[in-house]
Amino acid sequence: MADLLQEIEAQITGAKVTAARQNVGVIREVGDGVARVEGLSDAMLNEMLDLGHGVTGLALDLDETEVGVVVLGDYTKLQEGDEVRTTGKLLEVPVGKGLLGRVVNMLGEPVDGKGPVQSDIAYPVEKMAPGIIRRQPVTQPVQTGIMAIDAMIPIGRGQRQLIIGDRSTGKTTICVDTIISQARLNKAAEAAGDKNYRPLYCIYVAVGQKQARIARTIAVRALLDCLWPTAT
Amino acid sequence: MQSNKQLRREAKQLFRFCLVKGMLDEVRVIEAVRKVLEANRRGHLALLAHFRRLVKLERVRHTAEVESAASLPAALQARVLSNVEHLYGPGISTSFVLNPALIGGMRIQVGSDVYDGSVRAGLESLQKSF
Repeated sequence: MADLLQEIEAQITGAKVTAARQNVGVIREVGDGVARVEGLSDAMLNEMLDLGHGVTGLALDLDETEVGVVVLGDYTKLQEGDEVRTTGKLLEVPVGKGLLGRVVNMLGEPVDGKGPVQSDIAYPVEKMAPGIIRRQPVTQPVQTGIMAIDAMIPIGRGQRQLIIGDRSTGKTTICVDTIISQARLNKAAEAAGDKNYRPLYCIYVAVGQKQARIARTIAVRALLDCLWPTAT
Repeated sequence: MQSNKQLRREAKQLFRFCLVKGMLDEVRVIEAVRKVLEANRRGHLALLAHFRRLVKLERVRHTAEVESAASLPAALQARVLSNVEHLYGPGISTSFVLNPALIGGMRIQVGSDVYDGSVRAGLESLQKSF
């Protein structure tokens, strides 16, 4: 109890009450995940904005008299007249091995109910990719586990591959099978103690997918006992 | 039929016409509104709605609202007024409002800029730091 009181006193002593300048705006219109905010004269492009009610937004459209904000959260909590503040930060998400085996949303916040994500580093979402000269050549394969692909059109590590097709033709299944196959290889290499093996960490990014589908994918992964963690 | 974009462009042109040396001329604003109403063109009400919004935003940009938990003495009010004019130039209209919810201190808002030195803001930032 004494430690707790000391902690509180230290916080109060350290708290500086200065009237620093803040930039605010007012929501003029909100709907369909987009808010139009009047004011915010100092808003920067891709800056994170505090929309109140625990909701964050991204300034994407800088107009002369207002700012177009994409709401990264539940926009139904917002109302016309709500105050919006700038944060001075670009959109960034936590990165690191603490995300392995976790399910997170677009802001890197966990949605799997397993507690906060352990990460000390945050990277900006909009980041310049390294140039071609700096990149390593593609020398190692990605084992999809599907013989037709691995034999005839192998995919390499560091390569991009497009899977195109009509709906319900098995595009996501190929990706999930690849994740499962790589997880088994990682597990086997760890069990054998192979120090030369570089594990491949798989990250499944679901854009515009239904929540039921995401839940099914996660359940399949867990059901097949992928002990090697996969960040999703 | 004029699109919303065209009406907004015209409202902006009308607004620029009403600016004299960077400041809004009220006489020109009233004259502009009267002429648009007289012309009675299609979409004139939507045009005036956009124009009204621009005028409102311009007024807010040149208005300072000073909120305090208790009424301020005249000397302090004069000092606040002169500091605001020093930062934002002459032509700022200032209003003093009582807001007991601040608990103590002062909150000054000029356009989109807010200087919050109130006790309530301090408590909120303390709460966030925990």
